[in-house]
Amino acid sequence: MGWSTDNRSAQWTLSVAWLAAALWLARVYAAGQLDHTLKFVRQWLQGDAS
Amino acid sequence: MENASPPAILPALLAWGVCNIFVASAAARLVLHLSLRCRRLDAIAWGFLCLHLLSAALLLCGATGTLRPVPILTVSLLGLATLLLHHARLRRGGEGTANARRSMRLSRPSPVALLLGLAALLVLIRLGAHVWFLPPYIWDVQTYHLASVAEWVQHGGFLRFDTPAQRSYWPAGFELFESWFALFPHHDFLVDAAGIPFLALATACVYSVARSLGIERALAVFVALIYATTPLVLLHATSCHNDLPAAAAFLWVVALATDRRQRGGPLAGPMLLAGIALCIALGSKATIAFAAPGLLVVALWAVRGPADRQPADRHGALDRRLAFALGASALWVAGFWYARNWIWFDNPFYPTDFTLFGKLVFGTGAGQGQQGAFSLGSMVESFAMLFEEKIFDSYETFNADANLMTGWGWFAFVCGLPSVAIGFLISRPLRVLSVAFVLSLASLFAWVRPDPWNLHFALWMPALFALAFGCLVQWLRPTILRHAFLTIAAACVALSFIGSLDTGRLSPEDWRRMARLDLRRRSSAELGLYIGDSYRQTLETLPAQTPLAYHVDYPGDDGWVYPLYGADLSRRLRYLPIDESTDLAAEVAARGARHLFVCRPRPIAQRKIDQALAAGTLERRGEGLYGLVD
Repeated sequence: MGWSTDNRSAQWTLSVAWLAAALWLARVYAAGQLDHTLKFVRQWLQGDAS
Repeated sequence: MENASPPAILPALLAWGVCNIFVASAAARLVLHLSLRCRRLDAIAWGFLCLHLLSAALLLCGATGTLRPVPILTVSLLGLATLLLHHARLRRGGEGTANARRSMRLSRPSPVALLLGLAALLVLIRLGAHVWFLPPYIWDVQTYHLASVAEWVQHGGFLRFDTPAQRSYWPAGFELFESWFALFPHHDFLVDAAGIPFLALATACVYSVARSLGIERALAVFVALIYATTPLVLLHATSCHNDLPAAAAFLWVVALATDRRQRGGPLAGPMLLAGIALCIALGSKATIAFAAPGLLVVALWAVRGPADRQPADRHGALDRRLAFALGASALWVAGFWYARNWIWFDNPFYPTDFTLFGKLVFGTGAGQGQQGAFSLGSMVESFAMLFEEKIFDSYETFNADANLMTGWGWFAFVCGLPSVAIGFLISRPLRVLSVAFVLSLASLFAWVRPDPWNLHFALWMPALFALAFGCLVQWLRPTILRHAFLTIAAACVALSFIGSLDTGRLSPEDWRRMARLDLRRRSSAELGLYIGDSYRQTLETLPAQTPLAYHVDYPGDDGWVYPLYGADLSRRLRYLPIDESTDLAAEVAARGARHLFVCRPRPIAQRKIDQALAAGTLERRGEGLYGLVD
């Protein structure tokens, strides 16, 4: 059956792997980019001219 | 011929609208002959042909010195009248109505589709706000891209003008397209919008590929939105950078190939359109040639698959005269700039040298601007920069320059990378696309410098992540998993979108300051990013139409030229190179000017200015502005 849509265990295995990877990658990415995004949002909310 | 005063904006926009309607109508007529046999491809082909017809016609106008509103409007009105007469004759004969009715039929949108439509509307509002409130602000754009636009609009055609930026001579198909947005109002307030049609084309192509890969309609729209909200792609659309045509062409070829692979049928129409797409891209930037290996893989996959055994239908034959005309116009669009450079500089790729297998084929050996040679070392270094730094997007806020970042955003990193890895296992078409995209990226990296900004040559790459995610979600059966995946993806898209609401270069105060100004006064000089007040003061001092000699430190940070033209593109600029032997006053006068502008001069230029001031041949008229003494 391989990776067919009928193979439920394959679906769950790969999905769990995807979710785990996505959450870990989100942490890695947030460490770099989140501060920039938040800084920009803060600037706009406060009307910062800098 | 010089314009005495700028035209009123509203009548200018109405005339421009008439010309656009003519182009759209002509493209609609052509699509009927292409036999793509698919409504979504017909629609994309229509948009694509609009861009191609405009590109070819503008090139003709530029080359013949008729890049002016009146002749273009006249031809458009005549053309529109001819098309209307032709259409009326067809209606009487009962032809064409079935196709027209078929293309007008729309299905009822679902609530999910409405939600996606709302998201698309937010993207459009973001783009529209940028176009309306902000003048151009990017370094490349200010130093050479838009300087060409200003010169062409002023002179009604192409000319060889003195410039410190030899990159002005690179293929300029997109700059010519930008001039279409400034020509009628003789003002640059719409010029930022020139990338949006190419963004729309690229996004529609991603949707089409998704549908060809078997992804259901609403999910395919989401996939397309994911691509469109990629920070670098979104920011590029209004940046006046010239990389989106290559991305749109790349994705159009992929869309045609995946459709051909899925449904089979005649090859002539898709091949013609793919060829035209590559020509448009080549006429804008040579980087599409560097990405060609991956496209070749996709093309072979489309041609050699089992689908090619399906018989062509009776409408499969392409009109040979039409094919010849479109092919010739495509070669014209692609070849003009290279042929011009070959004639002018004995190097089609001027100012870049072209080297093959270590042998200098074109150029002098002192070329500039890009690498112009294949280098495995460059490829390795660019991949190292990609995975060691750029892919984390951690250097600064998202921006259109992709400075030390990919600009691919949250989705590509968090959802895209694992989706490609898993998609490679579960979907054969995705395996082919993954190989093709990565091969194109590798080839591109081998041909361009491993510099901090080279990811903006690969605006097509984020499409792979979106498509892989779409295939994965389509493959999933348990609803809870689908919802979990879609929720995470939507959060990533929202974060990327929020991060790219700004330009990465301007402050809230800059936005407010520009919004408070009258539309006609919004300009790069008023914005003053990096350049301070001297450009604005100079424009206020000198009346429109005034010839102005200038000297800037190109390619240094202070090499900004374009703001001196003014938003109404009216100042007549004359570049004045300065060295030890320059007699400043004499050189200014020789250029028909009475004033010289110098931005933050280097020591040699400063010394010559001081000498001229001491000798009493020049006097200071403002910051960086000097006038001849009578």
